Amino acid sequence: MNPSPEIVAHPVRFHGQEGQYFRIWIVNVLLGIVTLGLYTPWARRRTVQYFYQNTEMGGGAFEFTAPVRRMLVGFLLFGGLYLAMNLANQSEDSFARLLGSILMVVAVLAAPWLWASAMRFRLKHTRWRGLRLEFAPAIWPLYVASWPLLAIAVLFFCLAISATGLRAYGPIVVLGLVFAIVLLAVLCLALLQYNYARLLVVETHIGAQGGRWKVERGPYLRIVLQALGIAIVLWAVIAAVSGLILTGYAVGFKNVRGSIVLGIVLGFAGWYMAAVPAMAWREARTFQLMWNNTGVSQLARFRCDLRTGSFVGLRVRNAIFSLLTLGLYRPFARVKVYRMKCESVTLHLRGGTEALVGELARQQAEGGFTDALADGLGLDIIGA
Amino acid sequence: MDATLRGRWFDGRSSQARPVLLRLAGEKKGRASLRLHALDIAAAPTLEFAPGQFEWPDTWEAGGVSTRLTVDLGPHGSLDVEGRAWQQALQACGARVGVAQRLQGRWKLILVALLATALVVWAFTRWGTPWLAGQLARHAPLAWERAVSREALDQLERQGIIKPSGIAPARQAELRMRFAELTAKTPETARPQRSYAPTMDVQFRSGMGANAFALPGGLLVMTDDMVELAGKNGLGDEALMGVFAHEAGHVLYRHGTRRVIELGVLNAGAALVLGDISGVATTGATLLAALAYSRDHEREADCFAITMMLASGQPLAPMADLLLAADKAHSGSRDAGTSALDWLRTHPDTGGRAQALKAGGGEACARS
Repeated sequence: MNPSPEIVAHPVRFHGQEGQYFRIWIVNVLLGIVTLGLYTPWARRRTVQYFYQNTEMGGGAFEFTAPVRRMLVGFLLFGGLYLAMNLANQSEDSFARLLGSILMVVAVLAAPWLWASAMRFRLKHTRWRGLRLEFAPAIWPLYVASWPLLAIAVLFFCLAISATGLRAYGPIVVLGLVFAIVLLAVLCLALLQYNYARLLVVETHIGAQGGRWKVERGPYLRIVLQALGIAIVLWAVIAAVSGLILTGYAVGFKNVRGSIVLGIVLGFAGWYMAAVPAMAWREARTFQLMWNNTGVSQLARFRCDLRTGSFVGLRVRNAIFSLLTLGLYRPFARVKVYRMKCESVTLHLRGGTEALVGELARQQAEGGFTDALADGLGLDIIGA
Repeated sequence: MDATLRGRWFDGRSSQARPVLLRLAGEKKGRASLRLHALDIAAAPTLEFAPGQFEWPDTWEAGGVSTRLTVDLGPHGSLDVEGRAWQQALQACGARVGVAQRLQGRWKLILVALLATALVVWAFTRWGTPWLAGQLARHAPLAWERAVSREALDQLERQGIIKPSGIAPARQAELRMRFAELTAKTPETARPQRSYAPTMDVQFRSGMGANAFALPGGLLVMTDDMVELAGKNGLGDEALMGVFAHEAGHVLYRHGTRRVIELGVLNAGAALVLGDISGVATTGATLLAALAYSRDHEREADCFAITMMLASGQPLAPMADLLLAADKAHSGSRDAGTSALDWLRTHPDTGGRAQALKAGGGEACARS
């Protein structure tokens, strides 16, 4: 490698168009109905391929190479197991119910490992300039990173066993405690996301180069708390306004039924309108934090200039249009969100794009079952 | 038939692009094979790929506007080609494209296919599901239906929703007797399924306002308020018999069992068809269809009640009046004239029902 190569900026570009994706999506929906859902793996693959093929970075498009046969096997396996579990739990037979419970416990215990297999499958079949991404976490760090899951379970267990005794202390104490527990659970969930994101970056390799992660826990959690604050303030404002309207309506017209309906509609809209901007705000801030603090070994850094205001605006617009069109707007929303996120990122690469050397095509024995099953989980790659 | 084009090859070992010459050749069944010749190294060996050993994503536009296309060569890395050149080369060697790709190139075709699918789905929800549920419900064993009903009634009692009746046992026995006589006089042909004739178990309970309901297997429950309401309005026992006849109709048509099956099919179907569009649409569609099924059941039960009452020469008007009175008692001060929301009800509009009852069914019951 060149000892003192210059650093070149490569902006990420997305060439997809809303109309194109709408047609892909509607054809997927159509074929899904006609085949009674069996088309799902093909649909999923075509969707990912569309987004990847149109994402360009450093003179190369992304490529999704998962064989559709494996995706189909995973889909059927997952569907079969899910169905078996449901049937067993509703069965009259106590032995079947026991089996169902055992299966459930196994599924919960295996969840982190399943997540890792799913990610491994996805990344292994993601190629850029002919190079595959390798994600290979060891089992121990994976389960250590999953500790917030255990914490959440313990929290809710405590809440459940103390629920009956608590009522004696009055509603304020109960409400406060419930709020505290929910807050802690939210923080645990955020920590779990942080740990998994970190694992995903640190344990992923392209060629011989590993990912680099400099995101700190503090700022990450602060964003979650701030988003929660935004949601509460927005909700309070909307509740006050709709309460005023409601009283006016009830007093003015004496129409109890009408005002109840109006109250429900306003309440729902309020909840929705408070949650969407807060979640969008958190998404944008987290996205900036992550992409400004990750890279690939000493070779590459990312920079992100996503504008929080425009992203929140986009999410709110999308939510309103999706609701008004009963969901038909969703493919448009998806493309717009993906484009805005994608094009906010710039890759700063030391040396040319030709410098990466792949691990010599390692033909490892493929763990068919887990990968296939994990794929059935359908963890979305295109996060929009 | 074959075609030649140039491309950039990433061999999967480094991120370096290598110039290559490609040759696509037509094979059997509209497939194509590929030969790849590296241009950067003199005397590099030619790689050959049979059909199926290389894949490329669909084109998204009919004309193939995608500027660049990445072809997957499996373990041999990937190939970066110009989209239009690749499609033209494929066409030149006679390769065919898949259904999805052909569909998404044409707006009109998509629209027609969508309309056709919507029509099929609608027809299935309107007629297919009720028919299927009717067929399946025929096979439900009576003992199982009875066990489920007992369990449901016990559950309601345990939750305190209904309590033991305050009606004198003698009065209960009298009403039971009258209904048994009525049942005996009902011709076999009135039953929707001749072989299915469970004995009706008439029960009285307090709670739930003026109400009556039927559980699968012949468990008919009437609330104390309903009996009182009939007395208060000066309506004779014929009115109560009419209500029992209506509930017996639910039992004989196996509406309880059918409803469970219908909702199951509906939920699974809606999740499948509309799941990718939106949760709001799924829930809304399921709700509307479930309400439509429920109204159909009420209509069937009404028609059965009419047949049963007419068979023993009982008047229908008292039952109609009781319906109106119960409706008034439920809605309190609510004014009439909300029938515009007919498709949002579990029961058909009460005024219309009462009129149909007084007229002895009319065209609504023409089928039976």
